[in-house]
Amino acid sequence: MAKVLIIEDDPLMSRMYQKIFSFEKYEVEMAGDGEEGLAKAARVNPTIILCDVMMPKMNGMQVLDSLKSNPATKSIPVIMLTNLAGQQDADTALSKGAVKYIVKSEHDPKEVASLVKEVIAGYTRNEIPTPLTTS
Amino acid sequence: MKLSLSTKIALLVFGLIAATGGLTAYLVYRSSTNALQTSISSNQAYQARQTMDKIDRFLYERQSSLESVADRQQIQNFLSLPPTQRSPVTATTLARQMDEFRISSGSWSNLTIVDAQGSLPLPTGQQSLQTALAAQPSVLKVYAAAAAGQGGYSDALAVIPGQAPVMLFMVPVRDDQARDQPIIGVLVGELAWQSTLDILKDPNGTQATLINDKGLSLGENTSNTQNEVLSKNYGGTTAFQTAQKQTSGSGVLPGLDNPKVNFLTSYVKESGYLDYHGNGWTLILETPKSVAFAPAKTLAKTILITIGGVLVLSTIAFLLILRTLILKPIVDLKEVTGRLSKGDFSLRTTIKSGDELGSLGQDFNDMADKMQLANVSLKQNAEESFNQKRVMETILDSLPVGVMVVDAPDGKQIMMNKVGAQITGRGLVEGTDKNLYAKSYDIIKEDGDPYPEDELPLPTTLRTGKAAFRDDLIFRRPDGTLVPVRAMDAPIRGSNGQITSAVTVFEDISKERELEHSRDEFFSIASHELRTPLTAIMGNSSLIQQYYGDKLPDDDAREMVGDIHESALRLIGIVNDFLDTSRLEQKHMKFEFQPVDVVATAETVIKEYQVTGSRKKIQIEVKPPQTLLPMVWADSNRTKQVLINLVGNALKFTEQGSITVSFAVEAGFVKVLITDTGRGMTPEAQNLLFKKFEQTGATVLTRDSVRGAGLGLYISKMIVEQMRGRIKLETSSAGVGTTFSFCLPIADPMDHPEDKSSNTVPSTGGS
Repeated sequence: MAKVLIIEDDPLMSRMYQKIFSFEKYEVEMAGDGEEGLAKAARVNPTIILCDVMMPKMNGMQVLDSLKSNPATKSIPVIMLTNLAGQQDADTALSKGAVKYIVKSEHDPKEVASLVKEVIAGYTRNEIPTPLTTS
Repeated sequence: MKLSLSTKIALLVFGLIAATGGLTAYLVYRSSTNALQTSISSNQAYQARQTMDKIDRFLYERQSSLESVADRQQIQNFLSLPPTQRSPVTATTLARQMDEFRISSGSWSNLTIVDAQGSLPLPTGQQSLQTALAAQPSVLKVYAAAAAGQGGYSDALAVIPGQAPVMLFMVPVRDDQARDQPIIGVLVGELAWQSTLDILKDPNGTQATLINDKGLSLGENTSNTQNEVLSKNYGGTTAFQTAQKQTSGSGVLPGLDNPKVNFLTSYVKESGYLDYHGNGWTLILETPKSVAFAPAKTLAKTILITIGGVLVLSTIAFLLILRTLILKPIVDLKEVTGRLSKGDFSLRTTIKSGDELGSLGQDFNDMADKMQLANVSLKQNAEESFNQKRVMETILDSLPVGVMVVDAPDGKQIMMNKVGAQITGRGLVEGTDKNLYAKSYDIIKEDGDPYPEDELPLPTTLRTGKAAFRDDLIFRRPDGTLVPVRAMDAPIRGSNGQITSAVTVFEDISKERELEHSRDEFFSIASHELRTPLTAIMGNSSLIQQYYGDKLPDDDAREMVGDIHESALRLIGIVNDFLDTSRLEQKHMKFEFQPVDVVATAETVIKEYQVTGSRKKIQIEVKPPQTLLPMVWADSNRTKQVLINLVGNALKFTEQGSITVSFAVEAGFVKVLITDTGRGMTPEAQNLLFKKFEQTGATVLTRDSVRGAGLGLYISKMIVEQMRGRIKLETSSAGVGTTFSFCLPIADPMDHPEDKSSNTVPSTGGS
């Protein structure tokens, strides 16, 4: 079963994404800031990480850098989630190793879930999450 | 040397008269010497001829008298006898008779007979003559000549050592009794020299010299003439030699103009005549120039003295006149001007004469009057200009911007107001250096590098004479603080158009920068903070619809959730529009230009509309072009945004029918046309298109509820134009429909070689 780690400081956002991934039968891990996110990523070894950009303590780009510099976590695909609509940020994120840069307001939660699904499919063919009922 | 005016004038007048007088005297001297020379020379030549004639006559007479003696029978008889038969008594008698003759004639100093044997038969006491004859070989010649019957010979000069040369006359004695009258002896007479000199004597100071053909002086009337004639330089030669060269018998010797020749010289050459055998004698008459020209000299001297006297007298008279008539008024004027220059404007001149000086004095008084008036107004002006300066300074100091004036040629800083000093932190800097401005202030760029000196606005203005503007200067004050500055510079020109100075007006724009920054920050925050809750509303409402739609109690509840979702979507759209507008207006929107396939982009957009769906049953389609379209040079996402806007607009205003996207190629551009069968627009409404917050023909109260903020076309226009394209309303008629179009430049493979391969290949782009 695919495991999604959502690193998001805003409870409104984290709860919403927690719901959709739960509905979509993912195992969901939550982290409220970057440091926690890094710790969890190392501990729970998620299939994919969704990471917010604007966060206190450690921003998303720094988290991404840390993830990519740690051999234990560097192969985990990271999708950056943000509400900052700057093309430059997207390019920076992609160059740092993120697989996708998603502007939250442009996609409803279900679309985000299907984007995640596509990414996981590209990465691990044999780990396409399926509804619990069929697994 | 300082000379008074009167001295200068006197010197001038004196000099002029002296020069005129000197010239006159010289000219008179020259012309009178010329006249004198002519008359004296011709007189002298005549005199020479006369003198020579006198000499000739004198000598002829001496000759004749000797001949008469030679004809005496007693002498013939005596000489015809052989020497042994001659009676001593007869000889003594003859000697006595000849002596008597000699004394009575007064001309002869010696007289004797030489016989055919060459001996002296008479017992005369005249041993000197005999010795002289014996010593002179020429005597024999004379004898031979006489014996040959050639008559008188006057040139046998016997020179007795230690004595003056003597002139001998010889006359042959013939035997008249004999048949062929043979010469039996020679009568020799030695001329008393003094008698010749008497002839040469001249009372007029003329010097005369008689010379024989060998250059020996036969007589002169002054002791030193011989030297002058025979040895002294006569323009390179002696007067005698010069006379010898002359072909004619008499005349004036050339060389008068030669300054080395001190004489007016005439000559006569005599070659002898009749029985008298004078041979090649030359008479030279000289008048010293000093004597000849003495009258001219005297005349010139008289003229000079006269002129000199006149000069002194007239100068004195002139000075006296000058003093009273001209100098006094001038001195008077000087006095007044002196007082004027010291600031005393009360004095006036008192010149009363009616001439130019009088009017000058009058003019001067007028001038002094005016100066007095001007002085008063000048004082007022000074006060006024001081006040004006104060006003100016106050104005400049109360300006919120820095003002500084710099001299053009030497960069000297003339003026800076208070704000200027605050901004620079230094104020005016002393010195004259063309680059003083750049050296005085530490001006850097935003990246911290020093600002290039020749790009600074003030040096640019001074160099080019044109106004300059920069808004990216940063002044680093001496205390290390940084001030962002905007500066405008303008040249100040003098009356001849030359740049005299330049003014720089500069402004502390740190507040502005802060504002700009905070505005950016605001938009950034607005972007994030507004969108996050909206995303939550939108996301959660769509989650409810998607996962709990069937659990909602009824359609009303479902509709409410749907409306919440719809509202959130619209709000996000508005927020995005505001942000886009702001970025586009500030030109902060970043465009990633690349070759874009507009057909594929349109298809993607249409597909999204088809997917997200419209509850209206409208056919949306892309009409594919007949031929493959070239790629355009644009930002793929922004192109998509324009298409979404235009298709979305069409959808909003169309209730039924279709929306068609078609394409055309137009002179370097690809045109995209969006045609709908909607309600169309009135011409008035068309005028308001593409305006900010435009809502066709609507006031705030009558806004079309489906139109949102009305920024869509405005944003589209800015996007298209910033991608170097054009957007316009093609046609619109009420009830029939509307066609909007936009065109974008064709991507030129030559301009973007790196994109050549993908240029015409259709691609789905980054959408």
